Amino acid sequence: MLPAMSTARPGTRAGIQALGLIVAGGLLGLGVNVVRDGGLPLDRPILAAAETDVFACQVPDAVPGIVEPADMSEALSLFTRGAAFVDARGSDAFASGHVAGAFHLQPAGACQEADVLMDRLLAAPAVVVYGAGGEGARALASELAGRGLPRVQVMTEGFDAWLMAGKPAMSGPCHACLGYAYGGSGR
Amino acid sequence: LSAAASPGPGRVAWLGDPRLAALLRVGVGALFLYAGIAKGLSPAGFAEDIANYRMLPGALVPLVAVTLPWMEILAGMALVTGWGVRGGALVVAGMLVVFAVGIGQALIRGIDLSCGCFGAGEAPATWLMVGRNLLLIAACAHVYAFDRGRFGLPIPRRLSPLAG
Repeated sequence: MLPAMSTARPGTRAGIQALGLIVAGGLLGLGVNVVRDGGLPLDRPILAAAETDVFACQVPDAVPGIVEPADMSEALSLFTRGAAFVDARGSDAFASGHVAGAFHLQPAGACQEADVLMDRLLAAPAVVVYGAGGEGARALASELAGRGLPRVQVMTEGFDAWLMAGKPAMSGPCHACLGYAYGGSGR
Repeated sequence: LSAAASPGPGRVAWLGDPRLAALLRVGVGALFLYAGIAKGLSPAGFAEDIANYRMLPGALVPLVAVTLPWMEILAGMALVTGWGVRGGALVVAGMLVVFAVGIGQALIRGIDLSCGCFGAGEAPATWLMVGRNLLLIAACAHVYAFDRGRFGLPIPRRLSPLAG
């Protein structure tokens, strides 16, 4: 025991230790995030996933657009004709597997993402939105159509069906998406 | 001298046994080490879990997702190694309080969410987890009060301020 420290009250010393651990842990975490592949961008807000399928960043005057469903064979034909695919699932699900070349847009928390991708989506001959099979994809598709995309369709079956059917898929983050919240889970 | 330092005779004397404190210390430390590593491996998933608690503004979520796992890892290491035990116990107990409040408020507000306790995409949060956290907080209090550094790594002389 150093003489100087032995005069400090144990509670004070524990507080200093705690503060040290918190500061060191924080700095370590920030450092690792900078160094690691696919670190989280710190300047991009991450919002809670919508429980209600409500798009988090609705344009005030937008009228939900009309969205046509697309079954598996129609989706595949759109895929071969160069349609843009949009994945409406969570980022872990996206990173572990998605339709080849798909963009990632979550139903919630994707405002900036949608703005960034809008040009890319407008340039595509058609846009196909898919999810895990639920309503999330439909809500997102309707929102995108309301933002002025002319041809938006919803894949009625989810990604698992696409995968099961042996259609083109890939894993990893969405590189066009400004690095929206992906970990190193992409393989 | 306090009763804590020299547990008196009686049936509950074992409660203040430094060996029990050391056992709890290593156990809680290992748990936090594991939890921190699991979360640190998948910051994106952890960030989504944090966001789903709806306690933090979205702008702060990435920062917390990136730093919190490493705070857990360091605090867990402090407990396991016995270097800075009391500081580690304070940090871990503080985090457990925050986690318990987070889960509790989500359950009260009817938010259906996965805990995110040990990395992304596992069990849904329940009141059982709040109870588990309360037990772990009690363990931290025990460690803080009674741990004497048993079974810890030896502390180099220069780092002796870390003791206690």
